[in-house]
Amino acid sequence: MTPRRRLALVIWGVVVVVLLALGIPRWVAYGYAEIGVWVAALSTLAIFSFLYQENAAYRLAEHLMLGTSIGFAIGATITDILRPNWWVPMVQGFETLLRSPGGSAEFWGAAGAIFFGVSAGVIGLLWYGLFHPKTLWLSRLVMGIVMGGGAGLAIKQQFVLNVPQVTASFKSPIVLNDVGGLDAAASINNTIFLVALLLTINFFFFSFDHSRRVAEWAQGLLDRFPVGLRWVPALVFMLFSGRFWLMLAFGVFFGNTVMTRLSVFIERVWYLVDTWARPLFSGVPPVGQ
Amino acid sequence: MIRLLARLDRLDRRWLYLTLVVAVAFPLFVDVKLPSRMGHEARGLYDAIERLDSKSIVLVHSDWDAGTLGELKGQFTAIIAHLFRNNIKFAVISAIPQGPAFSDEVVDRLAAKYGKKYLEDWVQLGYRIPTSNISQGIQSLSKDFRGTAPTEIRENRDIRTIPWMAKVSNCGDFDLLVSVSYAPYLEYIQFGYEVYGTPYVAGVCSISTTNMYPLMDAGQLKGMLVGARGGAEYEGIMGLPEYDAQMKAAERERKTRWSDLSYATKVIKSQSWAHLLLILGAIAGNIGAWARMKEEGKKGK
Repeated sequence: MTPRRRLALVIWGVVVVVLLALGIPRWVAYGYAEIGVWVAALSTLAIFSFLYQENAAYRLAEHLMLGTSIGFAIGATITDILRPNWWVPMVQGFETLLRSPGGSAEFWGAAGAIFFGVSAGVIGLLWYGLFHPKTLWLSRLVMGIVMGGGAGLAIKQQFVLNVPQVTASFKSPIVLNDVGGLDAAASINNTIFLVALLLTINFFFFSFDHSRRVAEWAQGLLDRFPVGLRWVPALVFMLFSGRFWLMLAFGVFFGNTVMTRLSVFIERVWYLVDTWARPLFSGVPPVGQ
Repeated sequence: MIRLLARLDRLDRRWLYLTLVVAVAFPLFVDVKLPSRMGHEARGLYDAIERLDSKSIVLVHSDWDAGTLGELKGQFTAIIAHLFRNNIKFAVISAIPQGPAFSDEVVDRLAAKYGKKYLEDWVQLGYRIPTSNISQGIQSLSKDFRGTAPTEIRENRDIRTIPWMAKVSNCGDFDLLVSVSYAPYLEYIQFGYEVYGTPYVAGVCSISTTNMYPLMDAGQLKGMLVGARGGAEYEGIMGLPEYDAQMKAAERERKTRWSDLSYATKVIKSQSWAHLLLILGAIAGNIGAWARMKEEGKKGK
C-alpha cells in the first residue's frame, strides 16, 4: 500500500468515527426521522463523489436510486391508477351485473364497465408480446393503437396550439397608446420581433444556397436593370443574420439550462449543510420533529 | 505573469466544484438582501388568481419532486398561499408517483398558517395521470374528470360527496387550471383552454421557459413563473420572506426547525452567487487560454 493511500484510509477512518460519534446519539434520540436524513445525506454525498472520480459508492447510490424509484413507481401505479380506475370499476361492474335485472339501464351500464375493463386489460397485456419472438406481432397491434392515437393528438395539436401563435405573430410595428399617442416601447419591441421573425424564417428558406455567391448572383440579375444600386451587403446581411437571432435564442436556452441545473445543485448542497450538518452541531431536531 | 495566468487554463475543474459549493452555501450563513421585481410573466399568473372569487375552484397539477424542488417548491408554495389567502378552493392532482408526498407537506403547512381544512378548502386527488402517458391522461381528465380521479386519497371519499367538487365533471367546471412542473402541460391548453375556455397558467423550470413565450404572446398561457426567479417574485408579493423571518427568529429561540415558506427567495440568492462565480470562471478561463497560447507561442519561437 502506498503512503498516500494509507493516509487517505486514515483520514476516511477518522471521518467515519467522527460521523458515528455525532450520529448515533441522534439516531437513538430521534429514530427514523434522523436515520432518513442520514440516508439522504450519505446518498447525496455518494452521488457527488462522482465529481471527484468514478467510484463504487457512486455506483451503489445510482443503483439504489434507480431501484427505489422504479419500485415506487410500479407500486404507486397499481394502487393509485390501476386499482381505482380499472380494477374497482370492473369488479363493481360484475357485482352490479349479477344483481340487476337483465335489460335494465343499470345492467347495460355494468356490462359497459366490464367490456371496457376487459378490453383495456387484454389490449394492455399485448405489450408483453414483446418478450417472445413468436408473440412479437401481438405487441405491434397495441403499438399501432398507441401510435395512431398519438398521431391524431399531434395533428390536433398543430392546429390548436400553433395556429394561434402564428396569428399572434402578426404584430404592428406602430403601437398607439390609450390616448392615441405613439407607444414607443411597444413599437420598438414589435419592430424587433418582426425583424427577428422575418430574418429567422429567411434562414430556414433552403431553396437556395446561403452564401455570398448567391448574393452576388442576385446582384448580377439586378445589374441588368438600370437601378444603379449595390444590394450585395444587404442581401448577405439578410442571408446570415437569421443565424444571429438563432444564436441569441440558443444563448437564452443555455442560460436557462444553467439556472435549472444550478437549482438542483443548490437544493442538494442546502440539504447537506442545513438539514444534515447544521443540526448535528446546533442540536436542533431533524425535519418533521 | 503570463506563466501564472496560463495556470488558470490547467486548473483542475474540481476546485471549481468546491468553490461552487462554498458560493451556493454562503447565503445560508450570511443574509444578503437582493431586490426583486415582479416580471410580466408572474404578474399574469398573479392576476389570473386575483380575478377569481371565493366561489371559484382551481385544479392544481403538482409535478415537482426532489429533482425539481429547487425551482418549483417556492412557486408551488406561493401559488397555494395565494389561493388560501383569497379563500379559493382547490384540488391537487399529480402525474408523478412521488408528487402527492411533496405537495402535501407544503399544503399542510400553509393550511395551518391560514386556518384551512382538508375537504372543506382543498383536496388531494393523488397520482392519477400515468407518467408514461400524460397526453392521454390529461385528455381523459379534461373530458371525464370523475372517471379519471374518482376519489380523494386521504379518506378515499368519492369526489361527488364533497359539496364544492360535486359539480365537477370536466375541466370546464374549474375556473383556473394551474400546473407546477418541469415544463408546462400543453395538453391543458389543447383540451382545457381551447375546448372549455378555462384559463391555464403554469410554473415551470427555467430550462423549459424559452419556447413558452409564444404561447403567452398568443394568450394561450395566461401567466408563467420562470424557475426560482418566478417563485421569488411571487413569494415577495405574498409577503412570505417576512413571515419566514419572523418564524425563523421565534423557532430558533425554541430550538426547533424553522419554516421555509420563502424557499425560492433563498434559492435565488444562492443562484446569484453561483452565476457570479460562473461569470468570473468564464473570464478566468478565457484569460488562461489566452495566456497559454501566448506562452506556447513564445516557446515555439
